[in-house]
Amino acid sequence: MKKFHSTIEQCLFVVLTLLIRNISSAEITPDQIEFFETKIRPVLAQECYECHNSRDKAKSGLVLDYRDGLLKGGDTGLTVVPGKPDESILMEALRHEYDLEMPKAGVKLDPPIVENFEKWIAMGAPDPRDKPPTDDELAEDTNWESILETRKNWWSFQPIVKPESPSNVDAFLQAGLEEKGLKSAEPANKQTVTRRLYFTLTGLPPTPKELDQAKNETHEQTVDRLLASPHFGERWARHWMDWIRYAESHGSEGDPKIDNAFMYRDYLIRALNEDVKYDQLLREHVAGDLLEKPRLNTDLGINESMIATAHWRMVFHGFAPTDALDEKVRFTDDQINVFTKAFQGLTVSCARCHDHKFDAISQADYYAMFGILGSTRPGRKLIDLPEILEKNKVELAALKPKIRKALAEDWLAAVADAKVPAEIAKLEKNWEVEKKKIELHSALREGWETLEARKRWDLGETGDFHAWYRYGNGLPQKSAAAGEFTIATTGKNALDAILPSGAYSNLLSSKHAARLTSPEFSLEGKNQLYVLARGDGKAMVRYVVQNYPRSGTVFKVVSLGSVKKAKSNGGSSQPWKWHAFDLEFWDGDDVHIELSTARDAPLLTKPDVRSWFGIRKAMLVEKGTNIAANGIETEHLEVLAKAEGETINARFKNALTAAITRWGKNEVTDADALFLDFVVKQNVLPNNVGGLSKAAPIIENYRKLEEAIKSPTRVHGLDEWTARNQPLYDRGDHKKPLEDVPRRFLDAIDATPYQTDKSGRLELAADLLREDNPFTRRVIVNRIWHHVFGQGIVPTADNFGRMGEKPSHPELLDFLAVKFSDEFDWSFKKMVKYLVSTDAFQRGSTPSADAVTKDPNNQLLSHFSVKRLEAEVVRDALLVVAQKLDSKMYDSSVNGNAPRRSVYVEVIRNRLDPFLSVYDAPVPFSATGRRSETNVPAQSLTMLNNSFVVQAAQSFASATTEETDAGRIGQMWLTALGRNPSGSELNVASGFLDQLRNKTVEIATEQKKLDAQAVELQTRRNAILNPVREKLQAALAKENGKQEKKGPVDFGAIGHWDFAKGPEDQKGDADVEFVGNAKINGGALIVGDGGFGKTKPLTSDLKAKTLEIRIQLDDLDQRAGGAMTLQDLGGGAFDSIVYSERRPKRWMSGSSGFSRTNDFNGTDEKDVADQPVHLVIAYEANGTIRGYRNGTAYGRPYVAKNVQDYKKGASQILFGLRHGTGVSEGRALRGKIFEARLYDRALNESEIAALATGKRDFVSEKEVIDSLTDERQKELFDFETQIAQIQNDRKALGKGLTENDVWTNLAHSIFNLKEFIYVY
Amino acid sequence: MNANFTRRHFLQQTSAGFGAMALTGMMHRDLLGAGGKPPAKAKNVILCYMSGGVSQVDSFDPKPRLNAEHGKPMPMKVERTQFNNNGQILGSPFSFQKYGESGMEVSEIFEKTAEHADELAVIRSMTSSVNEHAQGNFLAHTGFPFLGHPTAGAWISHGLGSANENLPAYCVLQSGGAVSPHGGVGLFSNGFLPAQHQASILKADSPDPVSNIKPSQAKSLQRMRLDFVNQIDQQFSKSLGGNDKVDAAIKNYETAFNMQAAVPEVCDISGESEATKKLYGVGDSDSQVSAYGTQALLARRLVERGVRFIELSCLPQSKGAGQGANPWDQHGGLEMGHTAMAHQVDQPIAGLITDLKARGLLDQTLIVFTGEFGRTPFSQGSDGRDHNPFGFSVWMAGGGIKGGSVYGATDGYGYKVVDKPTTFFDLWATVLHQLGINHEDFTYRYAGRDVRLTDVHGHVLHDVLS
Repeated sequence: MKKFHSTIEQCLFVVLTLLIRNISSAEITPDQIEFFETKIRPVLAQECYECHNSRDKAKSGLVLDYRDGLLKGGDTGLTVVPGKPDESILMEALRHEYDLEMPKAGVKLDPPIVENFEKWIAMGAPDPRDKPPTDDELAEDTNWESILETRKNWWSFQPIVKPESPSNVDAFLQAGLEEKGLKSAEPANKQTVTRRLYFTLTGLPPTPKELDQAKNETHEQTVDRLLASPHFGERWARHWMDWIRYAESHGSEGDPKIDNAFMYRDYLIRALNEDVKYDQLLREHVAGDLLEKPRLNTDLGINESMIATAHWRMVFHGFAPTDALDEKVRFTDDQINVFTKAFQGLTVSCARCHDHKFDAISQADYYAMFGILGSTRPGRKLIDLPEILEKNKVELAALKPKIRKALAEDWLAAVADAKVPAEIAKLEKNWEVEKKKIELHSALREGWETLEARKRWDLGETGDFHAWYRYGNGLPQKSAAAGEFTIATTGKNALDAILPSGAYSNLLSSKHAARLTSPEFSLEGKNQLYVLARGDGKAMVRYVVQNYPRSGTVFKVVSLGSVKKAKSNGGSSQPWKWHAFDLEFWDGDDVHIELSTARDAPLLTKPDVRSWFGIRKAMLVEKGTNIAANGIETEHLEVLAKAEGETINARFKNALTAAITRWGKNEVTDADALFLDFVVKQNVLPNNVGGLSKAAPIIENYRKLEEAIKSPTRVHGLDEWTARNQPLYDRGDHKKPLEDVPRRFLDAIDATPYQTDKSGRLELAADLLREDNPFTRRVIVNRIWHHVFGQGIVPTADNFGRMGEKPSHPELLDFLAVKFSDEFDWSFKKMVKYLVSTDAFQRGSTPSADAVTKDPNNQLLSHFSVKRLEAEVVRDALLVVAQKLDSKMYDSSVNGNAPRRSVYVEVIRNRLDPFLSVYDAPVPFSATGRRSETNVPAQSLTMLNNSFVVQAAQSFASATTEETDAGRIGQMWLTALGRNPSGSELNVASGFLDQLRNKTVEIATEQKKLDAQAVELQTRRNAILNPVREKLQAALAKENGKQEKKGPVDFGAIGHWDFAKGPEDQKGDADVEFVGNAKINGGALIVGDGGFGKTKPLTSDLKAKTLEIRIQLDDLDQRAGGAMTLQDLGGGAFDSIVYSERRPKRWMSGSSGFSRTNDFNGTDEKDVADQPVHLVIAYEANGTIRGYRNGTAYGRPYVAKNVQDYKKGASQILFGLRHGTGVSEGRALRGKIFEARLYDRALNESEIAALATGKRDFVSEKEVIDSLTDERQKELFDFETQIAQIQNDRKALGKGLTENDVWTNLAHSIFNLKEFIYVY
Repeated sequence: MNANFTRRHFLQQTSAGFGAMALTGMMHRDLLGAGGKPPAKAKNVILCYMSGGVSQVDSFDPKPRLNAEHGKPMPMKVERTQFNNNGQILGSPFSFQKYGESGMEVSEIFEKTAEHADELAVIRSMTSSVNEHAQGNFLAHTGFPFLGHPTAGAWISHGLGSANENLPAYCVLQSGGAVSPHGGVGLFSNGFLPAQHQASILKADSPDPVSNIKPSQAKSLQRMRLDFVNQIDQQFSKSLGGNDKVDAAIKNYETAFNMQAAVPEVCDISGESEATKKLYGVGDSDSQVSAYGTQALLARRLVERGVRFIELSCLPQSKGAGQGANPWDQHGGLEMGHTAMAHQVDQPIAGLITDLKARGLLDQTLIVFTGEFGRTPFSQGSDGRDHNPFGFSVWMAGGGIKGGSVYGATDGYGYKVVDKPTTFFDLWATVLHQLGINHEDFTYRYAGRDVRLTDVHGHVLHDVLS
């Protein structure tokens, strides 16, 4: 019966459930449908469908895209219980009540949305979705347009609304406090507020003098004074540098420097000090190089706006990536990421692979911005004012025709006397053959000009010339015609070169800047690139793949000349040459050609002021196409081949006259120009300024004008080039490009494509600053607020999206945004002043008990938030208090040990400053609006032990001069903490001083005690060792005594040099001769300073051998000198005891070409500069080489692949020289050699140990210890441990303290006070 | 902002010592996650990082075919290489032997490590997406090929904290002139995690092993100073009505004071027996063996004291392009260079395994042996090998690893993975799993995203787990 009953119940339940369901679907009212469609469906679609759908993904078995799925629930149970929100797992998940938090990895949905779900479930979860959706329906529900519309409701996407009231910051804050029933703290005292102001506005602590000054000022006066201080710019520039992840190197292997990055830092400091308006700075940051009216700084002679774009280049670059497009995508992503976070508070780069997960940012938005940046490329900007860049160009250009005319006249007059150059004269003998050769070359050249090339450019042609991109002030508006020439700017020569047609960077001056690049082209198949170019050794030509700016294994760079070759060429560079580049590797990539002078490549620069290049032609051909025999080697003789005349002399003169005449009229061909250039360089025509009566005065004038030209100042920036839209990459995969996305701004603001043939950066800047952009102003006023109050109104200063935190005072944020633009006209200083003038800024920092519980993060600002000083401020404060701060502004960055402000400390990615890092200076990786404020022991260790801090303490102590203890303590307090000590502090500090003074006496007593203990222990140790040693020695002496009577240790050396006795070989005939300054002095052979010793030829053959020497060096830092060498007489083959060659401070067995050298991996030498060291290298006949130092093995023996045979009469020993017959760089040793021996066999270990000690019956300590019982050994070990401990303790005691030490200690203690690093 | 966030945030930003995270219950909900957490098998990780790239076909992935076809052209398409100086197939100059019950084949250059073959799980199918050192190093350490992300060590420090108040949770050991691999100290960075999770670089053979650890004054004087400072600090804290941050900073000075003794103590290996030292190669006449052995021995001492993640650094070698930063990088002279490098680490690593096992620590200590990529099976020039990210070998041992196992495979030439391709995300997912952390739930909110060590990737390699 019971069973039956329960079955009935079950049936009833099923029926009822069905009924409810049917009812709910059948009886959905229009109101309910509307509620579902407007309030529920969009949220389900946008937040849930991705993981819970009936198509491709149902996480935890849950499907939410139609009614039955929703009601069925997932693995964990019923998701929705109609009518019962509190029993529905969905509500738990939405409310984030337990571990299950939905949407996954998202933030909690807005409370009104959660409430809607509650209402909807309560009304029975009416749901019209009776079937799983079709693909189209699913797409419809989740399409971007509808998501965008919903997401645009997020607060930060809403327009900025100017609140009607209240009318000031404090009133807004007051309202917030009242709402929570909190009271604001009392105002802080003036001294506290002054210290706060100093740190906030200048980043430096106030000096006692400045505190005094402030005492007599109103708050406003102090604020105005500090805003006018140059330190304001230094302080606030550093904040800005955080926002754009300022760095001075690109990271990765090699970590190349970002040249002149500091100029951008200096730009920020100047701009902030001059209070350049924020909107202007923003325009400059985006497109400062394109502004119609840039901001010119006439004092410095620079275009400030131009510098701003350097931040775009502070990206990370990989090293020699084999996938160059991947690298380009990554560094462009870096730009987008930092830029959008810094200036819009948006994480646009999250939309690289898919539409943004949370915000109203589509994947297309991302690629729209990518297109803008992809239409630029890494470049160098010339920041000098136009008049400086153009200086004397017109004048110089005007002089050139005059010079040409005068020179032509001078030269025509000289033709008659011109000698035939040797290279031409020698053609006479075989003229017909030679002529044919020249003609053949001409034909070849014409041949390759019609050669099937995949790309071909002639830079002498107007069309090709204009198709290339020209940057810098050195490249002219049009291509150079044949016969163009360059003037030598110094020296006797008048002309530097006469040139064939092409493009040249130095037609007026080699100080001009130039970079010339071809259009981009795509590589398909196997290609080879040829570039016919010339230049100096600092200029270069390279191919650029996907705008990658570095060199590397597969990014070949060719330097256009070298000094050596230039000399033989009689000029300043290599001759014209086809530079070849194999591009097969880059099949499928986009590349272009780039020529640049020393300082004008986007990254690979050299410091030279003068540099130049020229290019005639370039071509891309199928790899393997032979253009080697291209005929350019006799191009300069073609004129000769065509000239009339019976003899070579006549032909030469005819050719010359004709060429000069044509040149004078500016009608030459390339062949003429090359011929003339050749002739001039042969000194056949006068090219000596003194010998040119007509041209000389004009050339002198030219030189003067050229001299006045300034080498341009270059800064990293972006260069415009082909503007093009970027294809969207499918799921961010750069190998899967889809449709192009027009260049435009964010869809949420305005998706109109930019109508421009440039990148669109100007338009982008305008969009940032348009009235209806809701981000720009909110973001910057929030950043300023953050740096004034320690926490932004939006705490996540770089993220105003849904994953960021919401504003604590949204209306206040808008109030400030409007005030910033409308009332303060985008003035930074006005905004800062406004904020530091509020009551909130001047409140005390002690929270009320209520505040601690109700507002623990002090978001409502009931009191001033205590904050740890930033890394830079801690370091700067140390310097100020120590009175060591070098207040020099601007210029190149310095190492962290230099006493300049931290904003000037270099930011090198692979070695960030350790002091600043430990205090949370950001890793330059992404925008950092809010630094972490960690609290770790490493900071305490730094403040306790770091030498920078120790030195600052010493300096601080000696800078305080008050005579009484109390006076000096007070002075220190005021200097370091900005206030006088309290009575109790004064007492405690005085007590501390006395304690320290007493310590000196204590230390002396303690030390005496320890010394006595140590002596005692040593005695006991010796008592164990000595008897055993004596016993062992006696036994050994007995053993040895059997073989021979007492005498010096001798193992049959064939050569023995004891320099206490003189240079003679004590054993054989190989006496030492002195070379150079070598001499015997004080019982030793003195080598170095050009002196070494060499012996007469040896009289034995040597294969196995041992070299032994006792030597002391002058210093440890010398490199690669030989102590003792066995070599053949020329030094071509040798084996040597060498110091510090491959590895510093290590001994090794040197050999000819390292052929028998390997690392012993012995220890670093520490002693040999202080005392003689005994070194032996033994060479066995099988190739084994063993090293010994002071009788014990040095490192590990190894087997050399070969053994050198030294023949008698043809080999010798050297002392103090690695090999050879004379001293040359890096082979000579500096030191004293006492004694040396040579053996014709490899000695064994014990023989060598005996040699080192000089005693045959020598017993080493190791042997003594080894022969002890375990028990005795342990005893001995205990003694040694105790002795070491005592030595440590003694060291730890330190020395007694001088009065100076006592004060330094107090100074250092003050640095360790928390108050020193916290502003309150 | 809710109170929960505040507390968590505070904990993340503030520590009263290296162990504080563990003590204050860092194993918070993020770690547990909805999927539950795996049981912890291991407590510590020792990463033997072979900077420069070990050749898989000369170490743990024997390919007889290379010797059979030595000098012939590669029969398949060869991908772009970094030096673009590719030669023909290059046979291995080393012989391979079977070791242990598992019969795992290992090259003669690792003969001592190979004696522990039955403890090793060799993954022959590791891959990387980059083939340049710095990027490869970043990828191997952080999962991402560039500076800025936290390393695995930092994540693990964040997740587990240190079990020792006075020692950092995450240490990088260096000795004998070892330097950071290409990429610099960024390879040991906390990235966007709080700064206490960055590695402390411990110079194993230096009297000042950690920067700023050597007291700038005598201990008794320093004690006096700290007492004085503490008195004034307490008044300061009181005047602020008690401030958590200031109080934590005050406490940190005490921790720092104790660390000054604790760090030199742990680094002082003089008390270890001669037999132990010898086991590690400490005192070997080859100073490189001795120096690396010192690191390995120190690693064991750190494990004993609760340090979570320890990375050992190879010593410089100037052979075939291998330098200080990338000593295994033999673009030329592979035979000489790999012989020397393997010799440097073989005895110490073998000794480490023996010693950990003998002390019952191997079960709780996961050893990971990897470089940033492998090397090409064809030659660069005549006798070197270029970088190869398409397939290379790494191994794990201890900590719940199934010893004697070989996972995945490369093709017949050891060039590309053909079975069970594996990524560093998988490797770290597995390491986290063994430490009792579900990698999918182990997140940190940064720049608007919940970021993971394994990004959106990573699969635990269950096949190599016991």
